[in-house]
Amino acid sequence: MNKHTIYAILGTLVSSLFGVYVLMLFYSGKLNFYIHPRYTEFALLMSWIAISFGVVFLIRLIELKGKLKDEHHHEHAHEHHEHDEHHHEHAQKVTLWSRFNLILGVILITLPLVLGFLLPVKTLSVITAQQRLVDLNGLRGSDNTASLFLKNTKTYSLGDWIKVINNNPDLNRFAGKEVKVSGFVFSPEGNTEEFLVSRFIITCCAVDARPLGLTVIANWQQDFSQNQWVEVQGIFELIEVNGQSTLRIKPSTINLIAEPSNPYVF
Amino acid sequence: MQNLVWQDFITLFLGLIVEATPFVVLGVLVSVVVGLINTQKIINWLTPKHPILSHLMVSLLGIFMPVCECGNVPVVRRFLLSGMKVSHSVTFLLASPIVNPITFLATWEAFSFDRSVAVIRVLAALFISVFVGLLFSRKKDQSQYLTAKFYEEVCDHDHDKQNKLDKGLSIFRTEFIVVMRMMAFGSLIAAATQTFIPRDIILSIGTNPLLSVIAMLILAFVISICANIDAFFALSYANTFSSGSILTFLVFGPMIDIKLLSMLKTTFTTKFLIQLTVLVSLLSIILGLSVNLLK
Repeated sequence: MNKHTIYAILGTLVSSLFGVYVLMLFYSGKLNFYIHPRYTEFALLMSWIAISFGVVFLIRLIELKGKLKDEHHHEHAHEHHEHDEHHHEHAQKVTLWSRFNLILGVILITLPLVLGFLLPVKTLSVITAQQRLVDLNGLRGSDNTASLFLKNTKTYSLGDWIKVINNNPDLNRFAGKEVKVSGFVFSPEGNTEEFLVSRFIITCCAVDARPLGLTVIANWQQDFSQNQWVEVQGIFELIEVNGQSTLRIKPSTINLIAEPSNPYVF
Repeated sequence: MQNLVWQDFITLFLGLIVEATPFVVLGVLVSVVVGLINTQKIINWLTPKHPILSHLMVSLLGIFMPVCECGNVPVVRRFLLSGMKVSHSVTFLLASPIVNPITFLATWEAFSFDRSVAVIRVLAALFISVFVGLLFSRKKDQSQYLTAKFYEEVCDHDHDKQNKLDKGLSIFRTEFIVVMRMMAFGSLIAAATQTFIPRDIILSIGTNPLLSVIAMLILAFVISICANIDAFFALSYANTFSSGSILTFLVFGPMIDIKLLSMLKTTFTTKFLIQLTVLVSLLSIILGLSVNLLK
């Protein structure tokens, strides 16, 4: 098989398999570990299109089977508009480079699929959180804060709380409220007396993930380490930090939990 | 912890791939359409004799193509094959990810507290793309800007022997492979830089009017995220970084970044890409710096 045939089959195969990979992620409920839910339909549509190109190609290949030799010859004659690296094949002396280039290309193209199909799907860890700025302002809602407070705040998630806090500059309203949220333990500055119960917010895909969180007052290092998932129950307190009132959670319990199936905030 | 570094590296890599590949498929679809219809006439109509007018018209073409920069590469290759000049293709490439309606809407939404960001972004993109296109149009033999292998493709017009179905299939798989290969390479580098190099190195440069602009330029170059959504990413820096540097990020990022350059290497010569990068970098720095000094 020459390079051209390899690429033709590989191109069709890889695009179809990519479609299969996205569908697989979707049906196992893990597509949103990588991309924001609003892209889900688009990704699925494009995956089906990629798969159908593969199916049509397969049908054509079977149809043309009798003429495959002709077709091959024909493609060879017009290789240059089919393939942009054919010129290597003109010169004998670059054969080694050309072969290396081909292998490198095959590795690069198949690498995402190999990693995607073989490795378990993981979410981002505290390592990435440390690489990023904590983005407490990343979440805003247009909801009326007063009406939000009418609802039962006991069921508020981490994202809900941060949204309400961002919409309500009067922090006094939060003091004394009961809170129960889950997230991973994250200590951006290595402070041993408090930690962030933290989650990533994603606006597009894992690449733009920024950590956000609520500060919990606790000597956490004896019992927990960073990146562990915990559920924190307690009440909000207002304390002065550098002359500014800030919200802290005073916990009554902190329990280790398994990573939830919806670890991100969107 | 070392395991986690590798784990995040792979997650970021796959995140980029899973996010961008559907856009690549969309871009390849557009390029299949462009490849199957006779674009010669459209390109002739779009590029009248007057150089400023023609570059301006090409720069607005992106409004009708809601594809981001990774999706644009196969489209541009198809345009070049249909006889578009390099200078026009560069203008299209630089402008279209920013003038495209999805990007504009995303920027408008993300910077709802300062709508001027979205407007300045589009105007700056139009100016830079037309200016750079005009500069390159001064060269008579523009085919020198294309790689030897692509140049041979441009000269070849013998497309008629295949039927449309086979031709469409062939364009699809060829473009997909060429673009995917480069995207995988770019995503590897972008993911590696994000996991293995402490972000502090870029961020500590802080709020200095010039240094912040350069820092955001480098960040945009390295992280290579899609124009359709980069406004949300830039937003997370809006508190800590000067507004000029945010604009530099928003204008420079969709035009030039690691991922895009490695994709463009399939088509344009290295020398050309270096010239392009230097030019666009300088213009973006001037933009950011003047916003910082004027505000």
